[in-house]
Amino acid sequence: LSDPIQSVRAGTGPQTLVLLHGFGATHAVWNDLLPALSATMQIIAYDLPGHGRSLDAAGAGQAKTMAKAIFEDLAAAGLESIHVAGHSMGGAVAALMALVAPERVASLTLLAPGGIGESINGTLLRRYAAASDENELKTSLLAMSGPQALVPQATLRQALAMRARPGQMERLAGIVAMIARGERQGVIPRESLAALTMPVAVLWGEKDPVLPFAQTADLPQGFVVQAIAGAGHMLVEEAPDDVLLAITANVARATAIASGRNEEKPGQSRP
Amino acid sequence: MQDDMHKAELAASALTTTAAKSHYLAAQLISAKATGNETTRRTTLDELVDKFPKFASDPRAAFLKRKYPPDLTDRLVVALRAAGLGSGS
Repeated sequence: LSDPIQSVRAGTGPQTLVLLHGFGATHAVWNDLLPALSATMQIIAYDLPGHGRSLDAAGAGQAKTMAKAIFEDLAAAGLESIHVAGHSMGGAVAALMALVAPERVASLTLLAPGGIGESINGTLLRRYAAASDENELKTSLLAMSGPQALVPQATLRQALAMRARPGQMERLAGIVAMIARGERQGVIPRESLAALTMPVAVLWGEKDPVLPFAQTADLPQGFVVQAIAGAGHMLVEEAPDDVLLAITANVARATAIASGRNEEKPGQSRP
Repeated sequence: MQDDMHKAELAASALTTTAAKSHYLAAQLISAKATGNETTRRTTLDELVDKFPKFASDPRAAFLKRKYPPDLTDRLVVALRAAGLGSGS
């Protein structure tokens, strides 16, 4: 029997926002954004299966199983409708949640999400997965970031603390072997994405060395796509203000549409 | 599955990084309006105008400077105006 998926909760309000981190991180990646977000919303930041306090939860590296575990946890809390934002692997899980239960996902914000294009820099991710001391971690994180990026000390501390958990390093190695086999990842069909009816916002670093920015090229017309100049893959650390505004604007847009205050339909968002 | 113990840590962490930035306050302002939190909306609006008068008078210019897409810029400006920020754009 596997452990239940773990989360950190903050804030209260009529809207609930679910935050999903990327590979090799934990809920702590959102720490700097939580005070602003939780001032007006209930926030649930998960440790995805195989990561941090969800180390032994079911579905590590399997996006569909992770999405199912999150929905079950939300249902147990009586939460039927939520907003979702996810980075990288967490973005792939977020997108699958929207595909599996679109009626439960009010808005979807994807930050350099997995599952959009085939190409993935598995070499870089394996190096990150194997990094266990501060220097290795810093070097790996810099390699995954844009050319001008710095690695926040808090990020290093969080990553080191996570990797100190018994069994964590082995689990990361296992997950990366699954998600980047042969430098290729599973891809969500474009027609499935195009069928989504909730507002979808996508942020992507133009210098992303893990998942190429070019993967945004043929995203559905209704998606609001924002290129972050100079940024790499680590958007939450590299462009926290842009991430914060994108999530907030998308939640506000969905809320306005739902309340009839905005006649715009998601599919009309781009010329 | 919940850990409210982290709240203090989260708040302390944020205060040293993004709390002073105009975009951070703008996001909080938009969210406060969207979720009907009038108290937070008012205090955030006051703080934004007080600490970032240039941004508050013309948020569009700030977003365009950061190369935000036009449709997103429009949406943010409209949302900020609906939340009470002046119509300097």
